[in-house]
Amino acid sequence: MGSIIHSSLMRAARTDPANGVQEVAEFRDLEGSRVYCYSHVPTQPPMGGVLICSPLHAEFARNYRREVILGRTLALHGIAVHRFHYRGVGNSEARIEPTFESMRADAIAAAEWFKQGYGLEQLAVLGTRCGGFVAGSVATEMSAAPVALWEPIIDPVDYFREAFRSRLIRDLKEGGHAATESTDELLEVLRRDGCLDVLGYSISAPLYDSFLPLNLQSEMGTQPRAILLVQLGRNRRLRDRYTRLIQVWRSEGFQVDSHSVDRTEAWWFVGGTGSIGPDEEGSASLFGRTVDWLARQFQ
Amino acid sequence: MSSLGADPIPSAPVPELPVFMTAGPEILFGILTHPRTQPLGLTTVLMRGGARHDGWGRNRMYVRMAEEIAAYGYEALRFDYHGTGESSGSATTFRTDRPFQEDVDGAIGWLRQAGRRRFALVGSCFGARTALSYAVGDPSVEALALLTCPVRDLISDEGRATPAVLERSIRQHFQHGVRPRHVLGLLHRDRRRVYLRVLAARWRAILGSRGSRTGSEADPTSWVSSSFLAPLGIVASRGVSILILYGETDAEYQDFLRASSGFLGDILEQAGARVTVRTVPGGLHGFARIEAQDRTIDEVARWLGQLRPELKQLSGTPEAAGGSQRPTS
Repeated sequence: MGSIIHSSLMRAARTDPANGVQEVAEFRDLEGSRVYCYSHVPTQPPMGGVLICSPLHAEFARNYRREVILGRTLALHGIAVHRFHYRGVGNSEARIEPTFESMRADAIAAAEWFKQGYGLEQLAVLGTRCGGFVAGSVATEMSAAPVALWEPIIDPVDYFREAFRSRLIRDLKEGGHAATESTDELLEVLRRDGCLDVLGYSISAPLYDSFLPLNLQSEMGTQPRAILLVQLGRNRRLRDRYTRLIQVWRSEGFQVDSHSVDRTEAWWFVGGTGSIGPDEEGSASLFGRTVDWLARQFQ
Repeated sequence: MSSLGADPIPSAPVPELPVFMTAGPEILFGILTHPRTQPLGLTTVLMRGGARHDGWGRNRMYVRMAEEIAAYGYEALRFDYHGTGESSGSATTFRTDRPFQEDVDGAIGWLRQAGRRRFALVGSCFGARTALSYAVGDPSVEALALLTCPVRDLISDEGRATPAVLERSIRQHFQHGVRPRHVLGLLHRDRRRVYLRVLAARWRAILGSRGSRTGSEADPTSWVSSSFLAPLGIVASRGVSILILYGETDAEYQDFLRASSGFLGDILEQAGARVTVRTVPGGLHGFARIEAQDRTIDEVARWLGQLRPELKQLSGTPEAAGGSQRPTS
């Protein structure tokens, strides 16, 4: 096994000799900041392209390897994939504090680079957790682009509540201030200091404020499109909030498929038990269903 | 296997360069950060802990560390271990007694092909043990920063479970094991694996204690890993500059203190000023607080900065550009 590797200014590429799939890592410039981008390119002209909108904070790291493996799997099925890091996140430059607006701008720029770079006309978008807001919002800029959602957040309040609780749990475990702190008190700290340390991640007030007015239904717009909603959890039955949202979308003419993956995810606690990737519990179901659904969208 | 190719590393003003590197059967991904001041001819290689799945670290800690190091005139390479991030392969378990030496070999091999000759390794937890293990066989490693380095052998997903079990009596062990949370854990495949490993460690400890009763007086620091002590002894005696950094409340630091009463203490004493042991308030392990991240970046950058006088003697010389001699001061 080997690889053909090339590096040039701000860009590196390798081709897997086993299957011919090319992977390209590069930094692109957006408004004076470096944006980290990574593409998976099939051997044949791609039948379509998928833009991946990652989640944030601990969930970004938690889900990352899955996004990499999904990219490789889709490329083997003839679909190009483009991943990127929002400005201020991961390998991208941090000259700005990320907000929903900046994340959306990053995704729109990434979609444009992707389309131009590989001559793609049709894109689908995949978003995980709060990346679902970005995916939905970007899809509205691309006609009837299909959207796949992995365990999406519907109401940002839930996301931040879960984040704050994870900090309270940590503090409680370490005998810290949890006895006197609640999520409301943490919110006060966020307001007072302009940012909050949640398990080593900075949640800034601008980010919090930019997400708060969002909801997944409205970010997806009104133009009917195909949606795949994948739930990760021990319960095979879709959670009520997902069921209700799917009913609303269907009533508006959206074509919605759903799937439940038997996998409990501790999103905020990276490490611990369980592997991330093709060997993890439920991965065959998650990748198989997602790849099949996306491939159907390009036929 | 194909070669890495001979593409030269572009010089400044490219601030960061994505790279692919061959490591055994795998292709690793990394990002090389160029110095922001006059290059001092030393390349730092940053290695994260095993519980993470990305090369940038929690809250971009390793990106920020690379930028800080670059401000001192050093190059910095951060990379994804095989099976993580953008790299190929698969990795489900990180054991400190089985460091990913081949990955470091691949990363440094790539740097060497690109003309780099002098290295500093910075590793955290599993990364610290990997850095230490690699440094033994490579005399071009001149400096080593070990952050929250475990002195005993741990496995990533069992965390402190094995040390805790080894310190319990059989009775306490039974009481602990029948808790509903642990019984329910038997339903989970990954947890079952951890339980088996912990029980195996307990069984080995029982056998070991029976053996020691019949033998000579037991070494009170026998729990300290030989795959930590031996490499540390070798690199310290070679004159490598070493920073050992812990948070005061890290369990790893308590282990380090206890271990210092044994052979570890002798190694540190013989190494003298070449080994710097530093602590910072609170906990560092996992870098689950921004303050801990900032302190660590600051400590590592300042420590590397202190090496500058001796490195400056070589900067601009053939050695700095690609020679293999180490500073002699």
